[in-house]
Amino acid sequence: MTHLELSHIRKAFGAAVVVEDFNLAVNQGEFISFLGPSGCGKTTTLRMIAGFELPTAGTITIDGNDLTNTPPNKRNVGMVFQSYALFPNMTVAHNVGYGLKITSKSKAEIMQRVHEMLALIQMEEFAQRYPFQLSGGQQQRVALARALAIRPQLLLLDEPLSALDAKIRLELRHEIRRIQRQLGITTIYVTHDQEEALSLSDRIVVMSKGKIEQVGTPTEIYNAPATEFVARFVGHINLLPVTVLNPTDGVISLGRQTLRAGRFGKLNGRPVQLAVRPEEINLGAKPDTNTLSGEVESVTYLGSIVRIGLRIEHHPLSLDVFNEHTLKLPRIGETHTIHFPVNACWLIEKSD
Amino acid sequence: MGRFSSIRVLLCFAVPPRCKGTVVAMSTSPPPRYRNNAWREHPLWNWVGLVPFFLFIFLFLIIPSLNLFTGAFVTNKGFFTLENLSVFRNPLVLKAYMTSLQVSLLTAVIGGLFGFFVAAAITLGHPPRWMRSLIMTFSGLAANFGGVPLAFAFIATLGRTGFVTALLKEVCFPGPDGTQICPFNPYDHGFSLYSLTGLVLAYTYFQFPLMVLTITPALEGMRKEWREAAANLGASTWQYWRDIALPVLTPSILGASILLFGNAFGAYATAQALTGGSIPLVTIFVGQQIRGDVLGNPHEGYAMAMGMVVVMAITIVAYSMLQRQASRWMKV
Repeated sequence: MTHLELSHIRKAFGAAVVVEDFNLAVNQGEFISFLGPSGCGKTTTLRMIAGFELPTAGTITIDGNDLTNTPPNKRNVGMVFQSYALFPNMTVAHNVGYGLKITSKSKAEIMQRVHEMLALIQMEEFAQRYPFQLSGGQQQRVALARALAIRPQLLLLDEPLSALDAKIRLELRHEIRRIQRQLGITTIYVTHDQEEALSLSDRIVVMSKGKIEQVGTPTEIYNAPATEFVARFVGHINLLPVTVLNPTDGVISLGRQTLRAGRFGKLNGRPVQLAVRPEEINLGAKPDTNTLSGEVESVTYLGSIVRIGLRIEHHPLSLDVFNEHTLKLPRIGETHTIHFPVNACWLIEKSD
Repeated sequence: MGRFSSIRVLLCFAVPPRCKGTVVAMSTSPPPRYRNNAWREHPLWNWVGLVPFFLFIFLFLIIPSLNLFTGAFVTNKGFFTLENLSVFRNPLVLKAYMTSLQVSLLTAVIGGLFGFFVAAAITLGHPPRWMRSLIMTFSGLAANFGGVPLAFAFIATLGRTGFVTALLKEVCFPGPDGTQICPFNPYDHGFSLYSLTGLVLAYTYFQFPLMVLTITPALEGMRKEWREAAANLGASTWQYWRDIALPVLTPSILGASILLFGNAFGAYATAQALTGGSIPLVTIFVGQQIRGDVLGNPHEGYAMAMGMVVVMAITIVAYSMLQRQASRWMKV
């Protein structure tokens, strides 16, 4: 059942259009991430849902109620900011209970809800502390509790982990997902971190230059990117310019070497690229796979994996191998054969 | 061999356990000489930059204050006495204190409120950058435009023959009974620049820009996200100001208010030039006593000045207590 619906949303600041024809239907209890580079319009879209920005065109509805022009304090939407935005003059308990105090709830009711929320974020013993006495991660957890205390119909998170260090970010990421699942609250999460989006979301909205590039599950986004932008933005990918030899069977050529693409749409004569993830490629030859040969240009340790860079028909290509103790790495300058399954590669139209 | 031995010596410095077996070879060369820079670590060096400031304070605050305090307790011949304090039994002196307090409080409140709204308008209202710069520059100028020039500027504007007074005489205003008052001479309707009202008006001229200068940084420190978070939780603009903005700003407002109060309490030249001493202010009384008029007694002047210091000290203590209460949530 559609809970939140954004229809033909457009936002312009003067002559600059920052969001263009944005359409999205979000189901009850779904966790959606807006993923994209800085300036792609993801935060502006979130701020329009919160009511801090008015759309230039289009409508925003929650459970069928048009909220497009409703002021932010009448929307009952919880928001968590990148910079925590805790009120510095209030204790943790007062911060969490502030939204309830505004709605004139009784003191007992406020206290009970504050306790519930602090238990949810496992910070009951911090109730009387001021924000300056908390770490960044603790402040963000309090901000989450504050946003949830009012029982919002929607939870919005604007890059909530960006200001935290890597370890805390990972911990809090799991905690956000745990709490979201526990409460079953519809959540919109803005991030430019693809790992966060892939690990947290039910669906991801990939945005670029104010437009939606693709909406899909993390698997769809990663394994079947719809556009070159999505392919390049999410994960690491090899894109090799190829010539279509047989549009029916997906037979293509890369220089003098012939290959087959596992997936390809309608090939209409426009320039295409062969897309294949580095982890799908292996060293050596194997029958019934796409096999290529090229010269090793680089070998880079990345911890659990080693990335090997080759030059094939004047085009760079990288492949990942697990850093096992038996691994024999190729030397730079050697010529090696590589292979990857036909089903692991697909054709993408070259963008303009 | 030479290359390897130098690498080994380098490793020896970097990783001490690697020195095993190298010690003998190293002991043959003379030990490296280091300059002893321990004196640079002495905590006194942290204060060196402040020496001119402390010297200035000593010469122009501590010594004059000591002179003032001792002067309040000695006779003209230099003998100790408490007689000078009897000046506080003089009803005229007490009235002067009351008037000074009244003017200071009034101008601190009026100037403070007006200055706060101007500062809020330029920080929260997002006017064009040039307008903001213009107001800040004007504030910097006006906050320091006191004394005789300010008094004459007001006399030329709102004095009996000032150009605004002359302009007002050319226009008609509706009277309380509905009849037109033509011409409108403000001096016929109770206004006088040479009264307490005029003095408050003149003081406000330098008080409000001072408030603009002191409170603007605090207003700039108010984060947009606090307002948005409050709105998100259902708070109206009024509730945001009541519950978050004003409590956060209170320490700064208190600090600015005490500055405004002190600024007006110690003002002398503007009042003297504007009213010719006809309004009893402590500073004018002190001036009259110290200047050596016929009936002047500098030691009574010192006693009155000491009284002013006491008033300011009480104000600062009260301010500190309020400040501590208002800023208990601040990082210390």
